[in-house]
Amino acid sequence: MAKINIDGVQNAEVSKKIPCEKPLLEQLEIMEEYTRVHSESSKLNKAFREVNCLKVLFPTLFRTIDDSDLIAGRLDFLPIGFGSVTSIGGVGHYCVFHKLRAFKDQLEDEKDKKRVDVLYDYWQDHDVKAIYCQDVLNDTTTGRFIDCKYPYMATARLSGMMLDYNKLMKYGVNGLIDLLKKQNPNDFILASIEALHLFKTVIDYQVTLVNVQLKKEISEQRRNDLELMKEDLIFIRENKPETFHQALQLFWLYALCAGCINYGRMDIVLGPFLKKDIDNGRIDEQEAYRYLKSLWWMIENRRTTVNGRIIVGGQGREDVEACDLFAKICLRVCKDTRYVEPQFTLRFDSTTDPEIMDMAYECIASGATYPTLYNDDVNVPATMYSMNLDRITAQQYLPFGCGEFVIQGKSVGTPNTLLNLLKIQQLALNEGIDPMDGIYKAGPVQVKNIDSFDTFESFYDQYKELLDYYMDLSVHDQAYSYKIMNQEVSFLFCSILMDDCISREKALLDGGVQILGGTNETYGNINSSDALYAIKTLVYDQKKYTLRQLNEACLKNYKGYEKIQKDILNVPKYGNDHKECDELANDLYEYVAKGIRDRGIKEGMGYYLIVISNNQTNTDWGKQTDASLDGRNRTVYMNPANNPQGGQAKSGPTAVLNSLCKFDAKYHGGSVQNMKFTPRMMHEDKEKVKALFQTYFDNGGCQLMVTVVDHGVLEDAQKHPENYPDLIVRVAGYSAVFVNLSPDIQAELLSRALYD
Amino acid sequence: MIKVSNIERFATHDGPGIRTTIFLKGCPLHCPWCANPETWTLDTILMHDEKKCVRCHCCQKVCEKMAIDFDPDFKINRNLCDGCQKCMDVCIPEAISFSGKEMTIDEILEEISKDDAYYKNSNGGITLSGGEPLFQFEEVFKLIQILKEKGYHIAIEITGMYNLNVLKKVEPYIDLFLHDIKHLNKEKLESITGASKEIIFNNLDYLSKTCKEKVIIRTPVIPGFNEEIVKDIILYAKEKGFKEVNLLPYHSLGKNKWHNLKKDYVYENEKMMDKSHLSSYTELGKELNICVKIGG
Repeated sequence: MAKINIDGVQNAEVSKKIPCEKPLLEQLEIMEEYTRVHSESSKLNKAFREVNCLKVLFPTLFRTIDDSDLIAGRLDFLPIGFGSVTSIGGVGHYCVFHKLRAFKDQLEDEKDKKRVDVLYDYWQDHDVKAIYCQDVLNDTTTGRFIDCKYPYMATARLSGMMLDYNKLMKYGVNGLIDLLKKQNPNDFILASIEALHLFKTVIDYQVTLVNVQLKKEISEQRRNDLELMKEDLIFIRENKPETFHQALQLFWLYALCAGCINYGRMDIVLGPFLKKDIDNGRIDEQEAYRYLKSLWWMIENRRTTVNGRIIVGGQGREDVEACDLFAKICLRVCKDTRYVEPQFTLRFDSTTDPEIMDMAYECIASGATYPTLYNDDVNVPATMYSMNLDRITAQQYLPFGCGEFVIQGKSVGTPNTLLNLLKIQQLALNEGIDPMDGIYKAGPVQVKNIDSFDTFESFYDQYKELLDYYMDLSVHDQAYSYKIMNQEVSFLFCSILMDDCISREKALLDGGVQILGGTNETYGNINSSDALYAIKTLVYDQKKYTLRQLNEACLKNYKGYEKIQKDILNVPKYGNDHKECDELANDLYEYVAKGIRDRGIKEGMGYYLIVISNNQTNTDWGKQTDASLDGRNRTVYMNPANNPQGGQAKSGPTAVLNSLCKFDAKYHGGSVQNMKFTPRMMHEDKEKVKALFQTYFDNGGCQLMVTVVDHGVLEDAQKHPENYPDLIVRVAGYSAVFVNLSPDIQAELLSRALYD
Repeated sequence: MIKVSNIERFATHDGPGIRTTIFLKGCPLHCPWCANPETWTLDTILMHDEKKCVRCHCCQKVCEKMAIDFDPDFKINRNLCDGCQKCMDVCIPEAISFSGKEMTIDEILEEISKDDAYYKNSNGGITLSGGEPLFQFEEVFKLIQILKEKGYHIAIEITGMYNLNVLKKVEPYIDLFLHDIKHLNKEKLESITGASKEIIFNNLDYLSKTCKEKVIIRTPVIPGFNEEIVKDIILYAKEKGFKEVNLLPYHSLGKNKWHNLKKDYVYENEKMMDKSHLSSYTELGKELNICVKIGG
């Protein structure tokens, strides 16, 4: 029996998944078969058990080729199966319990429902994540991801695997098999060979699926497309890819089998094939555009929400011309499609082709929100330091998911630990008790009475002591997640394309991967530092209130203490280019970032770094976090990434960007910044906005995401201002943050916009 | 000390590039469409937002000068108010604010310098606006000299309503004049805005003779006031050799400020003017070989 409740939402699912195309009973049979094989293989080495289980899923779960697909490969997944990440299916041998329950609810026959119950019971003890959770989670400090009652969450997942697809192209499937055969035939090597044979079966199955399409009444163009698809599938089964289309096909099927949802530097992988095909007249750019548009659609259809990274540009590319050719076509596709995924990402530096920068700007200005911009002039040296790498290796850094860095084909960097800095701060104010639920969550830390903090430093030290405790927990749990995953699975498909698994003859987490890193997502960073600055200013500098008075107001959610809240809100906030306030934010950032990094080094990890990323966890966690001393009310969202709290950036975009640049990128493993502009500003003030971005990057800005919203969005912003904290609009002789304007001015702007 | 109403960073519409615009207090004119009526006076002036006010009377209770009253709406006796701002301090819903604070030149420079890199990358700079920025001539002139010394591009948004000697002193330091022309007819101009046609146009003559290439004429196009004479203003600008005319379509975005100052707003029911309403003038500009832009 499970001690810990592992049944609940396990990741942010913003976009709705496409349901499995198989009938429910067939799905049930597959899950039963998977479970049976898993159980019967329990005595085998984990690598063989894995490949046996994969044979239940592949190729069965591949679905029909869509009428618009120009490459083959659509994969369903079920509540039970094998995977790497929670976004599609789960981790290792997984069961997503709440989805299994939902599956059960769809069944009509009670007998069938009981069949599901049997599976549920089995997986409570065998789901990889559940095994981890049983050991790590508890009732006070450590919660399941996502269970926001806790100051800290831990999980087991293998997010952000970006494989060395160059190796796949260089060797082809048979070449990889040959490579494996040259190694000592241990279980891992033998199972890997079997996995690649299974991959060939997957290719065969795609040919069957193409044949089904070819039997339909179709246009000549579609027939040609399908014939090419079939021809290339047959080719790549036995040969290294020679054409762009073959390379694209091979990459895609492999990524599906490996369960990877971030793809990486595809310009390096596919650019040379593209250039060769165009140079020798095999295809033209328009044809390449069609293929990539199809890829975009297939990635969109995987609905992996905050993943789907395709990255182009930047340092460390051999054939820059070929890569840029690929990048330009991607930019066209991105501008035309405007999907949520792929998260199309442009790395650049001062040497990047200005035409690419212009195309990127136009793409952003069109409202595509992509590409996301990464500044290599900052990130490469920062990664050298943070991960302790040479320049050549650091040049292969990649942001995945919400913005965590890994080294393509060389490192694991999954964020399996998450800290809520604001909740931890509240423990410091309340003798270890979380005011949200009255539960003691400070572990062995002796938290002093609030009246005993004579100086700001003494309070800050107490907070740091609690942070230390939680950082200790997290580094242990991060490392332990690898141990448990490694105990259960080999991640064969990932291992084959990750350095140095084959040459070391070891699975990914068994000592195979060259750099076993990891990341820790920190939340409430700015709320915490703003609260510290308010405490410092009002309690210790101005002596206007005691710390107890402030905390009492906070505990009452400022009801009846509105004057105190007003005074807190009037203390300068991060994001306004205020020197002292930003310095304190940086001090806290460095304390946590260095604390995590140093613990990773001590633990013997390749790296362990904080990421200040952007997803909805800041909102979800905010909902379960008490009022805070930055003036934020109970249950209100926390600040996104390292951006200011909504409504607190009152000095315009240059001030925000200046504040953002204060955090030295070399201490983190990814940090994201959001800005929103109106289409009017992006188009009419194009050169000024470009100069704004350029200056920010010159000043050390590492990353930028730009949202361009039209006036329909402004109407929505009126109704839901909390979603639009930094939407910049021009008012009259000045510009302003839209949600900071009074409703009638907003209405005026809306009416004017109709003519703009 | 300089009386400043507001400092706006990332100002993109008052001169080239990314700019910081300093809105200065004090203006000799009183145009009824003014978008910044809080700048007319040098005083630190109370503004009260009726929609935010919860009528708790906290402001009234704290006011030692008895300048605040409710009957039942909020009333301010500006003769009694000394700008102590205690009322703002106690106003929880933030209905009360004050416009205008005294800043030293160093304080202004510190604020400006935060965006130096942005000016440099965008060929931007500093814009002095208001109010009438030369209203506080003595101190503002010192600021202008220092800005010039530090190499900033300086634009100035002016009414033209000051002594010619003032203009002569300032002119060599200014890179761009954004010069208002509100009307050409003496009676209309003087009765509605309180300006003196003679002073303004003498100053414009001077600019025309000494540095016409540094001047952009700006005309707020106001329904029922100067719509009919826009063409004449363009012709005037052409005759004087100025490089550009900006026509600013009437907008009502300053309306709230009038309400908050407890002043009557003449254009209460006037609709915002569509840009396209003025688009024919860009064509006229082409015919006359003078650049005419709609908007700033």
